[in-house]
Amino acid sequence: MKKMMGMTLMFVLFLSFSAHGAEVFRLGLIYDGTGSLATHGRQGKWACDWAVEEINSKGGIQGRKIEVFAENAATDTQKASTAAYKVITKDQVHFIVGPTSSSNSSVIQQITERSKIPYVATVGSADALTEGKKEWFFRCSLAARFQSEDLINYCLNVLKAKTFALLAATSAHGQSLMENFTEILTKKGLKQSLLVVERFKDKDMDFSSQLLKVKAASPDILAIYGFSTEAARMVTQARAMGIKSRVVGGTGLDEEYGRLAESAGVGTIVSYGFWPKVPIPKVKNFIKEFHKRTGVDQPNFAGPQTYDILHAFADLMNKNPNAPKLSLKDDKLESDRLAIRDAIATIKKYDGISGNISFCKDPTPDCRDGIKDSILLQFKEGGQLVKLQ
Amino acid sequence: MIFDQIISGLSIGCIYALVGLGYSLIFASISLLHFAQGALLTLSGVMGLLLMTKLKLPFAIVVPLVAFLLAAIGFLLERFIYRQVKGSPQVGVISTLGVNIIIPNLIIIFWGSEAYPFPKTVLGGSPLSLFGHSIQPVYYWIFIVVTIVVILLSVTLKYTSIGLAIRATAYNPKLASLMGMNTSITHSLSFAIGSALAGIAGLLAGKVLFISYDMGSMIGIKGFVAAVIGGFGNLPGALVGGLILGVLETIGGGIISSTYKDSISFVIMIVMMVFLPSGLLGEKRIEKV
Repeated sequence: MKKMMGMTLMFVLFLSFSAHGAEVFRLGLIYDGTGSLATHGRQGKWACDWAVEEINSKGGIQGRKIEVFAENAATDTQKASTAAYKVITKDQVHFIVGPTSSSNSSVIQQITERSKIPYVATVGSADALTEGKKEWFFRCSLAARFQSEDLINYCLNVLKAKTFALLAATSAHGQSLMENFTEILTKKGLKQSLLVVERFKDKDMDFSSQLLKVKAASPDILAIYGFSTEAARMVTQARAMGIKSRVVGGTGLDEEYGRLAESAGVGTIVSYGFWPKVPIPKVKNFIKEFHKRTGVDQPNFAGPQTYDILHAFADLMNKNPNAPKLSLKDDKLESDRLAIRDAIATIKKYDGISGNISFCKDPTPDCRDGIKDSILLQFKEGGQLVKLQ
Repeated sequence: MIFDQIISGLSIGCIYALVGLGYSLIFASISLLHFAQGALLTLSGVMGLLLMTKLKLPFAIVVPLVAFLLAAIGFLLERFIYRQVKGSPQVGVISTLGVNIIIPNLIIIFWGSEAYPFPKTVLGGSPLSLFGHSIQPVYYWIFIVVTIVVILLSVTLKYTSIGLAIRATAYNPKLASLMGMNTSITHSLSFAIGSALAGIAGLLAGKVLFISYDMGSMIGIKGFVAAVIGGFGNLPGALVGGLILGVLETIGGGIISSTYKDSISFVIMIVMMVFLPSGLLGEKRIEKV
């Protein structure tokens, strides 16, 4: 009897690990549900769930439903690595979407390149992600190299800034933005105007070492390139120390920065790929529905970008007569993944909530960075973001 | 700039010192490395925030209240978890690591993973001018609170019967038991006091950091380093170790690079363990085998 039960149990376990159910489109979602980038990750997940619900209600991908395999990478590279291996080897997903940090995206990308599975990052901004001929990677987010140029030009031409200080996180996001910022100032012949360049770690408690140098230099502009929690802590400490420089930042600073920094964060200028207050009906409807589903008033770019790429892909696969026919059988996994990658590369001028998205085939930054337009925004009272003219 | 760095370092060092005091007190009492001090610190931050925002209690009331609550939690942890594994030091340490994982995850489940600031009025006020330098209110408030806590702790340990029992049990538990002291209760009380110290540290750290489920992870480790520097099990040593760690970390971060602040702390710990394992104020103990 015991032997029979044991064998039955083994059989059931074997079934659960072996062949998957009939022809379902398996989507891997690796997001930062906790940690420094939790607001981005969670909003990306909510948007993914919403997009999948909508796509499935219309028949799914080529008549087959999407099943999401979600893993929390917790803004931690080790967890991101574990999550990637799990969705690829155990869940055998066809395609991965990732509202996760640049550092995590880099780790996941190494695995997806080796495993030959298409991966679209919807938050990571580090330039290196699309450099070095990454065949299986796409980015539906604003890369670092598009964030700094407009910001610096605004500081020089409108704010008439003469001197800068730069505090960058040691993450891939911070590193990339720091390199970009420095490169742009150097190209303009203004390298000597960068008075202070310091780094900080995500979990740093105290920034007095860095801020004392900034205070001594008294720059016009203080660029903080990191994530919201640390940046808010830093700017709060900076203001308490009497540092009056105008603060600027990148896509790492979202509404959480405005909420945590409170009055210290008012006036901070950021370079984004998406503004939730764009006066276009479909954006307004998106924001309204997003608020209804999640309670979030002012979503950051992670939600719209994740939502857009999934709908762009579904539209392509369902409406384009030239789209490849996916088998979704287990023995055709490799060929399906290749077809999906090649299909994503054909997305051209998709007019999404987050703006225009275009990819192409070559594994170059120009082809694989789907969003290229930046917008300058400023934090006002209550953490509200307004567009700068 | 060096004066500002010293003030900042001493302030952070005070927080490390409180956590280190908890480690040392617990270790002195029952020879257990309580790696859950960081988690208790986080818990106190969350409790403090809830008491101030939901019940609108003033910070001056919240501090003793949270300290009491954390003391109660420490008491219960010792009674129902650590006491069960008392015979095996390795299992004891693993159980503290388990508690250190469970508490933050419970916080995520029941409270959430977002960060929140303390109300602006907490540890607020006008900057203090000293020798031409401006000291931020949060820094001098941390000095004041920690000074009061250390004085209270010293008076308790030195002049009260509870303190005498804790010291006697820490010195020689078998002898203390033979002399009629209830060592079981003193062990629990040591835990309670050590947890309360972590609780107060959490409220002070909450003003510097934001309250989140992982705010205590690095501070808990730095508190351990502070205790090692001062001499594990030595209370004045933990205080001195914390202050030295805070200052060296801040100044070192300014001179070398702020990226290496954590590395500086751990290098100091390793150097101490190699060249002066008993710590700055610890005593060498000879054990008969």
